[in-house]
Amino acid sequence: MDEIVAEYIRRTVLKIPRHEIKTMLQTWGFLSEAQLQTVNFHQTKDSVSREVVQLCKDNSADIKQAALLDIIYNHVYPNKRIWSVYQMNKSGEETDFFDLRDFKKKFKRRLQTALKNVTINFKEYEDNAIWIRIAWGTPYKKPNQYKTSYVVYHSQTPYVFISASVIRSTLPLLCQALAVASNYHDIREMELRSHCLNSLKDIVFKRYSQTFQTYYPRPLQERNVTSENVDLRIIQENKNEKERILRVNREVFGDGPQPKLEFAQYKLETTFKSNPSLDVSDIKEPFRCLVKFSSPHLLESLKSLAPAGLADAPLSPLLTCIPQKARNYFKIRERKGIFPGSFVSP
Amino acid sequence: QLLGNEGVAPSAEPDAAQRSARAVLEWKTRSVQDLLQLFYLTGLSGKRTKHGACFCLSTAYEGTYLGCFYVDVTVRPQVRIRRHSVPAFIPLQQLAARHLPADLKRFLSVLSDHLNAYVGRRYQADQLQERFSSHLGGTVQRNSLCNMLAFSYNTSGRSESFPFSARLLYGDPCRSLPTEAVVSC
Repeated sequence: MDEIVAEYIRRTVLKIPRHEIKTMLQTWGFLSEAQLQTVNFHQTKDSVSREVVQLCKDNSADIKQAALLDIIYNHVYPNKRIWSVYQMNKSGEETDFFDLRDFKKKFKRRLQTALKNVTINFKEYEDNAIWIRIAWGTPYKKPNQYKTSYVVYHSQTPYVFISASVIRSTLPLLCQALAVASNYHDIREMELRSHCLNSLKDIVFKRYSQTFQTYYPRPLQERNVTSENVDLRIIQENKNEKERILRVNREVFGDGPQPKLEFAQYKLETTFKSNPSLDVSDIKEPFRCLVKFSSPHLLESLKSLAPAGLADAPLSPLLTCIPQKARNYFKIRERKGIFPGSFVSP
Repeated sequence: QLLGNEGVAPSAEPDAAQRSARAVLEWKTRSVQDLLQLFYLTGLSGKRTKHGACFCLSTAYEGTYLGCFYVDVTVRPQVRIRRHSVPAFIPLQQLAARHLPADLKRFLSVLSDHLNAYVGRRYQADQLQERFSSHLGGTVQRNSLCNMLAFSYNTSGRSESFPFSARLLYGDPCRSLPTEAVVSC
């Protein structure tokens, strides 16, 4: 077995938390159950990884197997990487049957024609997600297995999720190959980034809980009546206001959990507006300013601002439009508001 | 709400007139609720909003209700979709470009056809996987729209070999039955 492959497998195993190693190797399926029984998973990870590599040598693992293990690791721990969302467009209206073999063939061919030294591996999951792992080389050097990009694509959708490698120059080539393989004719990066891949999917696939006004009560929705300790000596002076805030908040954010984003960034390019008596009103150049909101869970914290009394309800639409506009990077220019959307908001 | 707010009359015995008024109100409430439930069951219902209207497209396949999708539209200055919960692989943008703003009714009808056909295909594929798993070799390969299914199978359900392989194509996005089937062995 190639030493590079052996070392790569060893390092991949070292990344896995100790109690998960056996499960992940079982999912991988390259080592038999009998072989896995021979490994003591309670010793140090260093020893475990060496034993695993020895077994892989016995089975003559190649780079394809090693790449598959890496995909499985990233599928279980996608939040260790930062993901961007790309949107594709096509004009044709023919029914697309999406042949997986065709997709893989076209993708590989496009990429390998432009750059011979790449390692490309695919894995499909039951939710129609196709994972692609690409290890990049140069025209003169073999692919570096540690410089990898990952792509997640759900068939027949116009969205692609990419976790790019450090080599930014490979991105245009990757995007082109994706568009060609999935029968779209162009692809552009959206202003939406996060560590949480599933939340990005929730946002663009409209899987997050939105409130729609309807007469038919949703079957799973049960209003949680929080039974507060009713102490009759305490009178809520602003009970109406509290209820109004909760109601407005609920209309905006819905009842369910919010998609998980870590930041929202607003780039302001507006002119400074001030009291006319201050002598700065003749500055006609835009006042450049960048506002960045960060949080372990931005949307949940925005949702809790008004009920906690830290902000007025309703919150600024610039903050609340994030899941619906599917963006967390904004540019605000002089004319009030964000860019007008197309017929259908993304 | 009206029923809830009715306080207890100060006199011990409620009026006969009050009782019958309450009964009428209860009957009215029930029949409105039944009517709304009926609208939901037809597959298309809606509610006016301050912007325009919010439509609920409920889907079903052969008597089994399979969930609903929402489309929230504004009507001024033109009919335009504000928000929705339609999956990304349904060509919503194309349908909107073709039928809106002129014909909202037709747009909703066509969209409903697409959605019902999709959930119908998905439901059938799930049922195939679940109820005939012993006849199938592995899982049924499909795509997001479930308009292409590929699987290998046997007829007995008992043996280990799956000599036949089938590929079903559903060419019409508004239908839940295949338009082409290729079986090979």
